[in-house]
Amino acid sequence: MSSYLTKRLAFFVPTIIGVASVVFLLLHLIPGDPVDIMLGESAANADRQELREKLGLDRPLLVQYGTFLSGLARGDLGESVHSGRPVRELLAERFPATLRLSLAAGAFAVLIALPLGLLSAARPHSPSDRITLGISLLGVAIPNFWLGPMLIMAFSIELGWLPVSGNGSPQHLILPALTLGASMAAILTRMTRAAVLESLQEEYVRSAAAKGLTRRRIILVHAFPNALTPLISLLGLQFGSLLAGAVITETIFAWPGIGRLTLEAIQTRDYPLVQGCVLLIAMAYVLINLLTDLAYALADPRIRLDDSD
Amino acid sequence: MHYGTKAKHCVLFPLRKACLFYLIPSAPLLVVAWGLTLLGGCADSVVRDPDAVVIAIEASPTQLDPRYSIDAYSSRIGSLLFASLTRSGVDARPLPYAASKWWQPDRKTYIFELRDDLRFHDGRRLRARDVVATYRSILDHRSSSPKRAALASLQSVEAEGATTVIFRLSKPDAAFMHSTGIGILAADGLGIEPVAALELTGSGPYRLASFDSDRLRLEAVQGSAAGDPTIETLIFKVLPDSVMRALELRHGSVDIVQNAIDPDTVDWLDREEKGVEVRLGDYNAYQYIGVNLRHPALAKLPVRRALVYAIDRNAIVRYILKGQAQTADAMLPPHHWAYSDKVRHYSYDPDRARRLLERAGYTDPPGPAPRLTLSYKTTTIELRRRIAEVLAAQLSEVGIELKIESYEWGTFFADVRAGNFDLYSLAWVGIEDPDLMRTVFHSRMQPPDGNNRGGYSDAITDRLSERALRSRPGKRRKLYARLQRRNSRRLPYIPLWWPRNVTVISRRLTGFEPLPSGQLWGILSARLRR
Repeated sequence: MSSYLTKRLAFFVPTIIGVASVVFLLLHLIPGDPVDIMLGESAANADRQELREKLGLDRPLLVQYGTFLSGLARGDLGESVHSGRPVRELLAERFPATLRLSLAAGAFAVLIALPLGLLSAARPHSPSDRITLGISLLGVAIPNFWLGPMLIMAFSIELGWLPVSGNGSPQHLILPALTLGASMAAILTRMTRAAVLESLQEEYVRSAAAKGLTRRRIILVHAFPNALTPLISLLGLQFGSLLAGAVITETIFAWPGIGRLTLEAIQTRDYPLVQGCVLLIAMAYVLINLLTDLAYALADPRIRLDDSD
Repeated sequence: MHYGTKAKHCVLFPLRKACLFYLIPSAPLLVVAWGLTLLGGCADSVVRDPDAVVIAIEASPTQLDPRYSIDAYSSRIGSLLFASLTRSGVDARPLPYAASKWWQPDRKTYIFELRDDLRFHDGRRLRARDVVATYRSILDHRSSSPKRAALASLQSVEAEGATTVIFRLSKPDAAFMHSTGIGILAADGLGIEPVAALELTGSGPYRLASFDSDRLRLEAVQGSAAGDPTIETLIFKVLPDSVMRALELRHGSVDIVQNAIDPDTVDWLDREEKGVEVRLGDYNAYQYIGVNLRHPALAKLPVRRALVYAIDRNAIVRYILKGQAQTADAMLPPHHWAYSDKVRHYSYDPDRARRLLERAGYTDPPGPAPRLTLSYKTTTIELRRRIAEVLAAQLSEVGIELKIESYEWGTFFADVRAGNFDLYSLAWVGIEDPDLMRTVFHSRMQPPDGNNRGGYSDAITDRLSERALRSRPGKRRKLYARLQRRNSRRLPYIPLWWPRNVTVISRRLTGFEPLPSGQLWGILSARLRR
């Protein structure tokens, strides 16, 4: 296990450098000038040049890249071109909000999906199964930008139970979490159903039934644990997507997270900030993947994480 | 044994156990439902401060230091925080603010007399030396203030006593008065670098109490030059999504949204009439299609005229913009002091457009091929794309194929500034001084030094705009009337419409008057219904 961990962590550094390099190059390839956006159209050309020099944007791309990499090695992500604040500080300010939202959305998805998936698998093709499948299909098909306002219409405007948007109290978290988690819940429900149904076809289930175990026990104690491996894999991927894909939900609900920060940084061509945001998301992805792999071993003792893998 | 079949379930899944099985998955749903109910009761109290007026804005102000602010929200919020020498009136003429009066002993000197009862929020008196320090810090060559270009003609600024400020220009510059709307900062310790929002000390009717990325809280200050506010607390809430701004209004958790809701949604709010009121007023804005005059076809005047005749602007205003605009034939809106009606007016006339295209040499080829193909750049904003599609449909009627290219703002703006377009659409918002026409149409004002992005070159336009800049107000008005007439004939822009100032206001707020400048001075006379 420890050698596996060391190997995976060793891959972490080149992965991050690779992501950082790609982001750096892509950002400088797309049209748009942060100085134009900062100074507007009325500024004189000399002032533009001066600011460009001040921000180091006049230097050759390779020099800028070198400066960026050396900063990265020291853990310095630079300063936001627009606010002048350290990127690390801005990320630290915004990341907890995204993490909170993603965890809430993930918890909602798991709480809904696992029982519903199990229920569907227990009675396949029954009315309850068809209803569950229909709802999960809707969950996958309905886009966040539509679901969010609909939930607001229902719970905030018609019923008056919850605030429309913003951040600051537990109530503020509910609608964004439902919106963000809906798609994950739907996918996870279908996956749980399929995985448990597959497990139910195994020989050991027949043996368990022959021993006279109840169906509930068969499903919960035998079939479900064996269905966990693909679910963990999906859960890891989906949670990564929640972190990276919260842009729309954060924009709709004015949630002050990394997704919105990234979007705003791209719009204003705030290069250091975009780089910082993407790096943070990439690091989170790598970490989640690592945790997912470790979770496999916990869920299925047959999986060994060592050099002989 | 096949567990996947329905028949086996009935045998293996007795009713009592089924109930238990259903209860397990239902539990989280029940918990969520219970949580919603429990939390619901106090949701509104978290959001609302009954004595505060909440104004929804699209984006956070980028820079509140008045020497560095360029975006609309920084300017609008800044004008409530910082007193300036003058402020813009309804017809875009400057009105007294911190300055009680001003005069010009000669064409290159402006003297301002400050009110002697002005104080900063920390109690210090606002003196002439504060005005001087503010303007000098902008003029400092080490400063990167975007306002320095507008002060290019300013040679020196001096204080004479405690309340007199003398501005000396290097040449006559009638547009200089427009630069006297910059907020005044206290001289003590003022450097050239931008100051953080919460460290700024202003002298406006409100002071900044708190500022995070999504919310600004302003608190009333009595005794400012603008008068005493009746609303104690203003909260600016950043809501990036247009639908959400409308829903917050409908919910009652936002009181004012100005020019930041899509026309369809404004129409819906108006029809619903639930707690909100829609007001349409004058607005210092102009929507146009920019033309690249370096393009061989667009360089021909008949082609540009054909474009205007081929576009049914009234239909777009009526059906897409829901009447929230007024068809325009020139840049300056009718309420502007330099507006002139003596311009060439265009109505929808596709037959005439076809004739003009024929005359320009763009005959109708056999088959479905167009006479002319042009690219049209716009942003990814849904409304802009819908308008682009209507324009494409209308122009196709006269044989012009419009290839729509929509980009996110940064890419779009970079292309526009680089002259990388055939046609594009944008709006001028916050039109104050008509000298804008010089920066937009003068042949020497091509980017990066100006905003003549289409490469328009016309000696008469150059001469008229230069003369207007040197002239006194009466003469300026006549010169700008001629300039507007000239532009309406030569069409360096394809005129579209003047957007209306669309303000949606909560009915709990009375007495709020939206202004054409978009500034929020109307809040000073507003009151909350209890």
